[in-house]
Amino acid sequence: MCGTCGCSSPVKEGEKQAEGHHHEHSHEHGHAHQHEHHHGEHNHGHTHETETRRISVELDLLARNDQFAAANREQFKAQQLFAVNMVSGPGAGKTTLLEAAIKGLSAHADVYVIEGDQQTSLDADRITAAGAKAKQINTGAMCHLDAHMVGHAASELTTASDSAADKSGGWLFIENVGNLVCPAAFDLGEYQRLALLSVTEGDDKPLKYPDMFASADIVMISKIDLLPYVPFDVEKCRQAIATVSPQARVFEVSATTGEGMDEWLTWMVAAHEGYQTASDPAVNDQTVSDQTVRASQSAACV
Amino acid sequence: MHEVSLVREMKRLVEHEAELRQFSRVKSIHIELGSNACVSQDALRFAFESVRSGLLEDTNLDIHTILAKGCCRGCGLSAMMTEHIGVCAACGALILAAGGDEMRITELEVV
Repeated sequence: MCGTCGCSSPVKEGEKQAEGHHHEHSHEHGHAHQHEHHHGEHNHGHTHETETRRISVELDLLARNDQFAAANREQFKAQQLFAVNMVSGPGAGKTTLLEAAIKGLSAHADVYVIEGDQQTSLDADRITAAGAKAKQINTGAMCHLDAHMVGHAASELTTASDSAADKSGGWLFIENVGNLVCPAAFDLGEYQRLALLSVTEGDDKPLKYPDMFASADIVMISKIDLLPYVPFDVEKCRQAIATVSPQARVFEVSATTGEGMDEWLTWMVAAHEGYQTASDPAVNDQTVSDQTVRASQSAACV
Repeated sequence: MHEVSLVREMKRLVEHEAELRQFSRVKSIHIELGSNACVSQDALRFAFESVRSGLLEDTNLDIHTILAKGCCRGCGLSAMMTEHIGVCAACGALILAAGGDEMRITELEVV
């Protein structure tokens, strides 16, 4: 059962979660709209046409998602799971990068993967074949993963696993739907957001999709083995990333040849150790420095 | 496309509010939408027309845009921004927007 929402329905394989679920609430209401008047000899009841009322409210459309995300973040910390939300356009190479990462990381700790795709379990099959524990979420008509579906999928994935009980933790990669717009607004409770950009796309993509890149902690430039064949300027791309996302760590990799993978995976292993020992993972060194940068920027603002 | 999800959430929140405050029809709904909220107003209106039913049938959707604020990295000038990145009118340096990610219902006119 879900600790935050209280719902008891687990995310089923291939189940469309777009409808969410309904929460029942009961409230006491003290007034009725019907009343009676007495007119001479006879009694009759009637209903008044209620007047238009203006109600001031403060209802955030993302509040519910953010609550689920906060619960996920707490749960991942309790399980020592280093959660990474992977976002990119379709075909940037998220699954191929994961296959290569699983080989390098699984020597250190368990690797769990939640696969978000519109249909099929093809990606989960690839991840399982690579040696990680995978759970496929089919989003159906939805263009993004939300924190509620991720919470259920993560819980099933780690509960079903033998090693989750020993609290040794590991990495939880959440491969989001290939889409550089919609997933930007939905916090999944991840510790790091990783945006992937392949050299067969444009080097100006961070400028064209700034919302997504601005929210990234890590930006990976992938498929660098193809650089000799494409007009992709790595320096120009790094400048574009620095413009929209000055805080992001940038890695250049090829999952096919392995170039650059060691540097990234070494960082991932070190970051995972830091995450395990940190008392409050939400405040790591990088987050603190980002906040300082933002605060100093706003202080200087006229 | 996620505008459909947002309208569904809007409907859920209004239904909950209707239970609390006892109303059966919403004449208009006022929302604040940040310029950097990753939401297309046209798509949101289209989703609203398509997804609404029950309480939100015949409801007027009023969208109030909240502009993001930016602060020039070069000269420190502050500016209201409609996009994520802009160029400072005073010194020509880049300005990055902050905030402008609001998506909330602020007022309901109900019967």
